[in-house]
Amino acid sequence: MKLTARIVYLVTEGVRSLHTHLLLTTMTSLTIAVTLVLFGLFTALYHGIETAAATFHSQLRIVVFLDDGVSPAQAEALRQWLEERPEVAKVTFTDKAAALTRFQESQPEAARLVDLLGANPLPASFEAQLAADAHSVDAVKALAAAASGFAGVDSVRYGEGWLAGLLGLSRWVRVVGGGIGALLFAATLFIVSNAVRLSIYARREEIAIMRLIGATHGFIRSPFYLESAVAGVAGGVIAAAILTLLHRLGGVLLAPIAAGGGLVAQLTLPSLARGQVAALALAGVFFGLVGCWTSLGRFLRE
Amino acid sequence: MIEFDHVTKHYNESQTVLDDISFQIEPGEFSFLIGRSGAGKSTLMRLIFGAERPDGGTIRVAGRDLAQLTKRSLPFLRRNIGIIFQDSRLIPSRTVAGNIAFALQVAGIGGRVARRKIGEVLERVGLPGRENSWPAELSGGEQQRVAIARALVNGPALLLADEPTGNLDPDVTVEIHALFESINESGTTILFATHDMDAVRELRKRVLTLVNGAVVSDRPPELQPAYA
Repeated sequence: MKLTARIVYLVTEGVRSLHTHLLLTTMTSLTIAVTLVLFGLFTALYHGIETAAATFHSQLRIVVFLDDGVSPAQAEALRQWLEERPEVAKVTFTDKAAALTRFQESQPEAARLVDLLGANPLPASFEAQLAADAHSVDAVKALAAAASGFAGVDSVRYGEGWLAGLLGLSRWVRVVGGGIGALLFAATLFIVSNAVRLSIYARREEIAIMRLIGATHGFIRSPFYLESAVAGVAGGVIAAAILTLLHRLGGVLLAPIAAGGGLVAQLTLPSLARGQVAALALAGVFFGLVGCWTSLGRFLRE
Repeated sequence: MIEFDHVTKHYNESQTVLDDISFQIEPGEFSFLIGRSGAGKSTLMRLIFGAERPDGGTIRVAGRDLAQLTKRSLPFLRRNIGIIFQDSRLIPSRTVAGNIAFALQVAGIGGRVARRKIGEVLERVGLPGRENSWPAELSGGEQQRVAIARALVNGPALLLADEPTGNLDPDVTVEIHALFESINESGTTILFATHDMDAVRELRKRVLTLVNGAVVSDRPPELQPAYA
């Protein structure tokens, strides 16, 4: 069959078929939309958790408290050592006076006790902010242990109690999240395949007749693929519209809670950029086409 | 045109549907295939257009050994065979012209050529001007005429009819038989499966009789008794 005649047939037959089977195509589009919304919500939640985890990771630090009698040379040696460490992103020095000021600002009532002491008990310290890839508890422990060996160091703190828990939770979230994402992907594929299969099943007589009059598999398949692609694009666009609406609704409902910061502030649904809308439409096309491919096969077998 | 050489077909180990049958149908011949329900008529038809494969023997259609046909080449065989069933199998969501155009589209024919051919074939089957009718608007006989038109539009050399008048009234049946006869007179080979003995006696064509999957009789037209 000539290419132009084939294209004309594909387009006219596809349009005719969409018009004739509008209800079936609409149901397929809505099925794709619903599953993409669920997938999108999960992706947004996962993204939010990852962002929250990254924020906490960026706040990971070790604090090296110095003896009151530490010499400038000892302090400088420690500072240089910390700055050269690959697991350290940034080193900040806080002298005793700055430490006292910070304490008075954060704990004004407790600061009166310091006045009673008559002397500043707060030590100077080096605060070493950890690099993004320094997420191993062992690496942090090793760094802290090495720093505590320096002359002039009184103690080293790095949140021993909660660090292991946080890093473990992050890893757990990634693994479980990835597993759930894969399951959701497979479920989406399965649901969309079944929706497309129902649509094709409703037209099994038509397919049987096409085979009897000498239609090739490609001739039979192509209008169905076109319909599935159109249903997929429509489903993706509908999903994008729903997700955008949810983003706006979520922003309004969660604003009072998110204003307080914390985890909720990180878990807001990100708004969809044009590229993401296009990605959803493409995802709809992908699921529609794969659903069509898996479903048509049994109707084309003798 | 059709050659069966010791063909056997089983559906499972204990059920033999066609048992070592051999016959030949020459180009331009009109042959009846008669037998009770379950005799194997439909299976024999399905073997000819490649919907089934035999378990033994050789089948040739228009000189081509069907065993050598790949799945890819099967559609091209079917474009040279017109097939008509007891139920017309029209697509309800297409008009009469749309149903016939389907067969032309498969063969890569569209546009003005397709419209002309559709008009000609509808004229031939006695339904001129009915292009825009829907199948639901047609009588049973008219639907079957459209099915015949769809089968004929690409000018096949062979027409297979599997009980095409099984659902029709006697007077409509006579009209359809006359139509098949006129199609045959223009050179198309016809194999007509039926258990309508009136039609067999009326048309006086060659008769192949199937009983329990075996050809028990192959009577040429000249030996058919006159229809009283």
